[in-house]
Amino acid sequence: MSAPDRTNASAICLSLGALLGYAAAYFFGLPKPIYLPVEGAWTFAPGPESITMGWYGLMLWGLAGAVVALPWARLSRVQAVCRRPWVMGVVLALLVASMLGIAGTEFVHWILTHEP
Amino acid sequence: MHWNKLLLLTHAAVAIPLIGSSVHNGLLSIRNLLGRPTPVRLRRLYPQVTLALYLAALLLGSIIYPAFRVEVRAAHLDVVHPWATGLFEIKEHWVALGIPLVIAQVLLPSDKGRAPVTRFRDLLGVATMIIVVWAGVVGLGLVVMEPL
Repeated sequence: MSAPDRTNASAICLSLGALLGYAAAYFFGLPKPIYLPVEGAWTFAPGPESITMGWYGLMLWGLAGAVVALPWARLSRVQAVCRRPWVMGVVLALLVASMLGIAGTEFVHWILTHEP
Repeated sequence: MHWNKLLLLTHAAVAIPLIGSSVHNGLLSIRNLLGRPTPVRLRRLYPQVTLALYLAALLLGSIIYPAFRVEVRAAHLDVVHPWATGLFEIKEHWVALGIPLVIAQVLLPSDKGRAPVTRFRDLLGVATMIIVVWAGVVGLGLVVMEPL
């Protein structure tokens, strides 16, 4: 396999891993470090009244997904698969599904169910 | 508080050229998807500029996020304008999803004609444009509504 094949596979594995890691943590509520901005502390189990920030933890899941997926791009079999259009379609489908799923979830949570 | 204002201003100052570069890149991607001629040099340059600005805006946003979360979101938006919190949350998650897309565009070739990998790269360019424009509109809108 050539260097361009390895680069293509790296781009696709990176995207797929990061998207899967982030989306899985978001939609399945995987445990993540949560920052408490008032206390300036991190926790996995915040109190019910705490002001919390889970976004950094979700970013870590995305990063972890990318780190796990990236080494697979060195395998020639993976490089061959990554040249197929359907694999790129899977990445795009995952992206669109994640974006729409997140938008729908946040819309229902913050816009439909919260009374000002 | 003054540091937060300065960082917020810098965040917005980085966001504006980011919107410009990602929209240029997205429009070039659409042209390429439609089979129209596009300058290869710019198709290589815009994703690189977008990546640098994207990471800078992300870093600045991450630094001021705790102050925003406490002083603006919890104190005001969640209570009075929950719809604005919803729009902000969508922005934050979409921006996170956009990071690998921008990196992938820099890695993928821009001069392979109408090969599947080029179409894939172009579609990532369009997706990045949508994410950045959404983030820009919501972010700048919130700054106007509720500055730090």
